[in-house]
Amino acid sequence: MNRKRLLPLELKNFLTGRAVLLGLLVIFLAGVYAIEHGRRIIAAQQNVLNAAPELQRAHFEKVLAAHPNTPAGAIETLYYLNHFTRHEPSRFAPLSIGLREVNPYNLKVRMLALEGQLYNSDISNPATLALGNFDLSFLLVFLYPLLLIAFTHNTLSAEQEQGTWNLICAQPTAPRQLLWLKAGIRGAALIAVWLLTLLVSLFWLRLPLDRRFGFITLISLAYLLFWFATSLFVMSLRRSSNFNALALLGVWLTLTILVPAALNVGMSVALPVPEALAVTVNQREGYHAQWDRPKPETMQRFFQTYPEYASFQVPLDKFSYGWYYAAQHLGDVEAAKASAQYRAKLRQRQQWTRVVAWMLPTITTHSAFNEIAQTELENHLAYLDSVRSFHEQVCRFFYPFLMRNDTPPPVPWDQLPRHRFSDEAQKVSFPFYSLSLLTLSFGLMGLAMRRMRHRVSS
Amino acid sequence: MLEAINLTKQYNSTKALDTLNLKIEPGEVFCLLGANGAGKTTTIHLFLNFIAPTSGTANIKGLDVTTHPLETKRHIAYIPEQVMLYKNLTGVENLAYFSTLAGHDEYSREQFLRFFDQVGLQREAAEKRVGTYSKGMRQKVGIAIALAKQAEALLLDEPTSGLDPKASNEFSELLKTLSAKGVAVLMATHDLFRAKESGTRVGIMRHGQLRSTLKTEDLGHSDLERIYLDHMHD
Repeated sequence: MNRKRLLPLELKNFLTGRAVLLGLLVIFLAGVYAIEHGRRIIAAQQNVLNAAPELQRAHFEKVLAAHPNTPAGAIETLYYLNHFTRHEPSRFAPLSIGLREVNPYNLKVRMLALEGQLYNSDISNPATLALGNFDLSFLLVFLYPLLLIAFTHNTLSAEQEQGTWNLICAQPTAPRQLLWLKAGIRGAALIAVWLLTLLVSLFWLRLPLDRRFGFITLISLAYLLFWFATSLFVMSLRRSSNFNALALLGVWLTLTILVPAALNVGMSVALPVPEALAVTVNQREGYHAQWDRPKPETMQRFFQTYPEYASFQVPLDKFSYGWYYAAQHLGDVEAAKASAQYRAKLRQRQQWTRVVAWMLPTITTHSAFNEIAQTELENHLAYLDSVRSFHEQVCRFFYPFLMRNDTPPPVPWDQLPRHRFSDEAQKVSFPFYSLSLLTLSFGLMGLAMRRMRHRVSS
Repeated sequence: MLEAINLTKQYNSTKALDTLNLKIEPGEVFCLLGANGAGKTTTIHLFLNFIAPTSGTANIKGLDVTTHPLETKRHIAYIPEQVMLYKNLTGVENLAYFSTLAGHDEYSREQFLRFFDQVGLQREAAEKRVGTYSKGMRQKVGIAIALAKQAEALLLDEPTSGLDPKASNEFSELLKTLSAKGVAVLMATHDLFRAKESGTRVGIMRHGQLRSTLKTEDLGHSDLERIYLDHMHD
């Protein structure tokens, strides 16, 4: 078979088909829109984060100006001071927004009990959140398979239904060779558009051409290969175009919507998180209980964590900020167990998602994209951990001014700890569970080829 | 060139072809006559290896089509009752496509156009998309594909279906020319007149059996019709 001579003819035959070019154009434009959509969302977040230092400075100035410039006045301001934190996105975040829009990325924490502050977030329209984002990973996972199905489902059946297949089979060329060429052109056209879209994202978002870009390219190609192999497998059943389309749409519906939705429900049932409420309740009760206890008792418990302040004598006859912040700390101590359990449950859910990802190509791809773009739960939990440690730094910065029996020295405001957590600084390794995609794709392809060898005879 | 030895095709309890023994030599034009379902198309499909025989063999140039599928297809060209082509390609592009599949990738554009000249398809028409063609025009492209293949045997399944009388007559002449060049032809047809005109022998089939084989030179048109009808009514 002279492929060189057949290729331009086959290409023309395919590309001049009904709505093929339109379909390719639409999916490309959708890709460009998805890139821009992701860019806008992350740029909006980045603008907020960029403005944070200036807002922090203005906020401090305003609060400090409202109080007398004395050590006692400075201590009083601590209650009102918000300490800004920043969760900087990775440069790949626009490709797969993941949980970045759901979770807070710019928490402001006060020196009060922390646990209740960690879960503060802006109010979002739940209907909008439920819809998800039209980013590049969504486009790849949900829409590309549909177009691939539309292009490839009738590669063989259309020839049979239009009557050209007999004329092909009467030629001294193995029909399956021609079938590979036909299917290959259809798959390659879509893959070319996808690669072009990735290239656009590379320049438009000024992405670094590093291994993360390589991972994304590799995993997306493996995902498209999976759908291509699935289509070939269905084609090898040698049924009608209608059957093929319905079967493939059924697989798409199952893999992209039904199974992930069922798993989500299953995971919520199997791994409930009553700890989420317990954290809030325990923290509030842990703090409020201190008001009913003798102050020395509160301080003794506080000194267990911070023995360096054991010499602090809490005044029994009047209000003391030293005691007040110790009570706040004990609120966190009471919530610590539930908080750890809550985080462990969330991580457990994440791990189960990874386990499932080994078997479900749609979840594999989406998870891998989020992991590479660093927009998944794990990144948010790491940010919360950094906020925890920042809160501790802030507390430790101010405790020496609070836990003392004499008049505190002036607060060196310029030495206040600053928070910054950047995903970009975290290392990204290859999501190994996505290897299952390659295995599955090649396995299916091999099976389809084997079936084809037997069922599409010479 | 073409030989069926005890060739049988059975679908469940129905014998679509029953123990066909037939030999067509180079230069012979053998016309298979018979009503719908008589087994004409089954015979052709068995020679093309589109379907596997229940028993017996179909040989082309001495090779069994089931064991040498690609090798035997090099020697034959096929024109179905309805030639279906790629609608988005022109006549020339379709011819180029199927010629390439047939292993003839040496033809130039001018040579392709000459094949169209031979089958009576105008050059301007050959440059148009096949989607705009009539059934007759598609049939002519099918014949051009068969000619371009330079096959030693032709398998024709109602090839003149859809052709106007002039084009049918030209096709008969073409068959005679090919026959004179030593091409063996097996043609299934309902057209008794065309069978008498083009064929060297006719075979009358009924219920999957070849009931009678006659030389056309020994028959007049009316004889053939009478014999055919006799077989249909017995």
